[in-house]
Amino acid sequence: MKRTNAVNNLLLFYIPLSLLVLFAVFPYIWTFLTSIKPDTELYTSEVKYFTQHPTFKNYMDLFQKSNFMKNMMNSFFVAMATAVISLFVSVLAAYAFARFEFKGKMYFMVSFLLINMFPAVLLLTPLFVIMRKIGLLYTPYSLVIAYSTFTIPFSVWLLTGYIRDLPVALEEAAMVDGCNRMQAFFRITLPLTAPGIVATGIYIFITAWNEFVFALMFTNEATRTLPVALQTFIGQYDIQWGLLTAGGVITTIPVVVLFMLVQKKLVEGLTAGAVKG
Amino acid sequence: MKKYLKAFSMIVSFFLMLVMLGGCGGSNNDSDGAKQQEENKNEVVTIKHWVWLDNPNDPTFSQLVKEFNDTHPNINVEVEVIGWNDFHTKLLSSVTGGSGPDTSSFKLTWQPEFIGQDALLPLDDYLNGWAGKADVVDNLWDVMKYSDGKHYVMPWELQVLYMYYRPSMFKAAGIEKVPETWDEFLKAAQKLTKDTNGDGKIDQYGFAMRGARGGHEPWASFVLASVPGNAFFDAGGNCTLDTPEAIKANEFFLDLYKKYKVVPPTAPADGFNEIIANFKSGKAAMVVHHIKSSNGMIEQFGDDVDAFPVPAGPQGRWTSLGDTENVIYKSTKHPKEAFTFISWLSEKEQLLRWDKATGNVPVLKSLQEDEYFKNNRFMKASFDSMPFAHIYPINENMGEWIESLWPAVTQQALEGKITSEEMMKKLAEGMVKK
Amino acid sequence: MKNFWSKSAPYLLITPSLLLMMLIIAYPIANSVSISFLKYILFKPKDIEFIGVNNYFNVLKDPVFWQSLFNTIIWIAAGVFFQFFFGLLLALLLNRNFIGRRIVRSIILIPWVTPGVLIGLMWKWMYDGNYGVINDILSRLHLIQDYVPWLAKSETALLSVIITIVWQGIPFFAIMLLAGLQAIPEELYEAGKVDGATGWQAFWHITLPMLKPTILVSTLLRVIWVANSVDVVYIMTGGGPGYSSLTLSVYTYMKAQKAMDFGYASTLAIYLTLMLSVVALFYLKNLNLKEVR
Repeated sequence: MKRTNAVNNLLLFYIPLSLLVLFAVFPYIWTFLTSIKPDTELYTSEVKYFTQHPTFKNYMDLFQKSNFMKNMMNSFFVAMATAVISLFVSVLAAYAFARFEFKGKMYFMVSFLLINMFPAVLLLTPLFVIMRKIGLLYTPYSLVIAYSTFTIPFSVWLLTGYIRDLPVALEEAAMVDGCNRMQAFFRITLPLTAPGIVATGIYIFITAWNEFVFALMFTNEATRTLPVALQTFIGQYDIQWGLLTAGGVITTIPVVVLFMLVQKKLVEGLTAGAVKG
Repeated sequence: MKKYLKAFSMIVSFFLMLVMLGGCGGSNNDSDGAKQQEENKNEVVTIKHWVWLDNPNDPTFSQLVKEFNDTHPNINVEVEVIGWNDFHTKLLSSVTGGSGPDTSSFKLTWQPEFIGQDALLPLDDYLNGWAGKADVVDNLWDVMKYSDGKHYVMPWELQVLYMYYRPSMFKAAGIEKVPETWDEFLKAAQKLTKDTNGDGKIDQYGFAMRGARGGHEPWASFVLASVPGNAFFDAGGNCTLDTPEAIKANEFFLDLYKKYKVVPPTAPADGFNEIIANFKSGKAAMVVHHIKSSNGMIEQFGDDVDAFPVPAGPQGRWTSLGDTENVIYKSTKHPKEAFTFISWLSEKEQLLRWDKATGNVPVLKSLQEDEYFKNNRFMKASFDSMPFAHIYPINENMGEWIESLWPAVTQQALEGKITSEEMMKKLAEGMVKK
Repeated sequence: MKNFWSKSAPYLLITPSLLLMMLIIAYPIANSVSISFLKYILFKPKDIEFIGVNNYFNVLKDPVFWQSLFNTIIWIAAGVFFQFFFGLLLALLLNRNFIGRRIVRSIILIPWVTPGVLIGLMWKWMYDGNYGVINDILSRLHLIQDYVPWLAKSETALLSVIITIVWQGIPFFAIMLLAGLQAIPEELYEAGKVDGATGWQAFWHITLPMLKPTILVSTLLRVIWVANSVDVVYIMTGGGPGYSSLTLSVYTYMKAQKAMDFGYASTLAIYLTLMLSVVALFYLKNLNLKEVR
């Protein structure tokens, strides 16, 4: 019995998990291996996995010769601010959509979605003019506002889904126990949807962290974010593979670390919340 | 009622926050205006310059700008480096949106888009007063004249496409001298295409063909070498690409992949990065590119890399001239200072340093006589190619033609989905459509 | 008074998000829609003229549009399906207790966190038909005889970019569904066990139905996202060879940014939006929005 369990575990759990994880991280590992190769080893007729002469020169260059640290701070500020603002307004709207019946609800939800269906590339020039007119062009706020605009619809939809997943009986029970709706929202709904809120927050943060098209237009050298900075390593007649790959490796680290810190909330399930509530 | 007060106050505070954000932006703007006024008082004008760099870590450009600012106390040039891939997008959208730079690097082919919206400043009046004008390489002023007869650009960088090759591979294949004609080129390529390690698979190809974006430049060397007059348009203004000569020459180009298989099987998808990689990794013995790749190739191969001008066809030779210029936008408040800056960049001393650092062909005659350039084998190939180096036609169709039409129909023809004739008809049509 | 508040509460709650969006985006979208009725080539400001629905007819007559529409359908269907499939699998695996799961949960985010530009370039590099690592691995495993020029053949180009987008999208589903799994009460599974349900039955009868809202919403959002993604395809193949991997969004991008034909590009964008709306309607029907649980 125990033995079949172990075999089952291996077949149904460890093997698929390892394969999926390998698939997910392999290109990253490959990027890292490329980033520590000396320039002359980038082009070889045989695929070379490990270099004999690893170098961290690209990483040194990245931090010493370019504004990478500053770009990272810019990205972090923009992504954080976007996540906070979007989450705040989205939770309110999602609660309304999930728990109330009101006129025009369908219409509002669909119009939220429609906005996200329209290709951003066509909105670029008019948005640029708007940002210029309200004086936000080349400030991080222009990105925060643009990203909020594009992440709110998704976030509202996602959160609506998570709140609807939650049995309404729990809230009703609390209200019977003497909570008002507000208290029920803060004491029951919010903690119980914490996983969904965290997941949505991650979604917003990553979207803002990676966004390129608006970042290209709405920033200058002082406010530039990471994806735009990475793009400057691609010249017309030359790609700085070393810097590009080193930059790519570094770019992902803050988000992964951040996620490690919040991931506990993501899986804090119904039980954890219910005890508190 | 009480229970919603909290929600309500949250919403109100959110709006306050929005107003504050708006307020911040507003005050920023004001302070900008104030700064500008202050600058006027001290008579220091700021010139915003946008540029792309092949190697953003090379400090030469920022050093040059610093020197300019030091030697011109009344002008302060602020440089913004933008990646090449998006330079055009950002420039065009910003200029259209009303917030472009004062000056920037530029490509001749972009002229219609910017001149069409009346965004570029004609430079003729300034150029006539510029001391370096007569020193600029012959014909360049003609090449850079726009269809309305005016000059909008200040010459800065030049590159000429020629053929790189690996002498050691030529020797191993028993090729005595570099090919002079496309027929000789094919013979050489066939000898160079082989299995070098004996595993039964071809691992070295004659030529790194470029079938993806940007491949139109080397491609034209194949086609126009067969076209009388070596031009895209004949004297009567008709496109020559769908003439029988051009179709036949194009067939030869396609057959390098389809029939003779002397190019890597990846050719339809290969862009500049891939063809250079193919050459540098030893997968290909020849590749068409220009002098800006030479530093990297010397680093990789040392002496085992050399160059010759692109081969000739029945009607002679044609190769592509690459260019980067500097321009001034009409929106600038300080055209005079802007011209001072962009003309300073193209003056002898600055240009010498820039061309040495980046490996560009000098646009000034006096510099081409310089020992440094005379002794460089790749400069020699460039100079030898100058007499038949031309640019692509400049008209409003070319943006789409270059970026999407040429790669798409070439790839279709390489895969045998359309014939050489169909391909050339589409290309001719795309070049002249109204 | 109380009645007034309960009636207006939902409107108050959605006001901030609605305002923020409308202030910023209403004008650009209206602008784009109106441009679709114009002949509007950016650098020919003198030639701008009203041409009614001509752009809409011209698009329907454009063979490249039909090819890209076909590609887009495959791109979305295959891309989102496999993202979802592997994402769900990963979410279920990560929902279990095992040593090091904190780290594993974090590192699987990497594909999602990597900027699209870099994804395109790295995958192009890995797919390369001459010295690409993918060819090397496959031939070492004896899965292929000769190196395959993945991105240079019409037959494999679209497939190759789909694999890349699947890679990028798995973490999205894994995280979203992992969060959704937390809302399923443990008691349901315990009750299931009492009734003698096997793991598979529990998954089919408890997990899937309970996850349904999350699944529907996240796939719908992903469909929209994948339909609009440009960078990966544009960098890897530029839509080629020929038009074999050209998606509608990439075609729109090229028409707008390379040909500067904003009239035509806006029209393409509106067709894409209409198409997505049809998909969305189908989803909305299934989601049963009216129901308040």
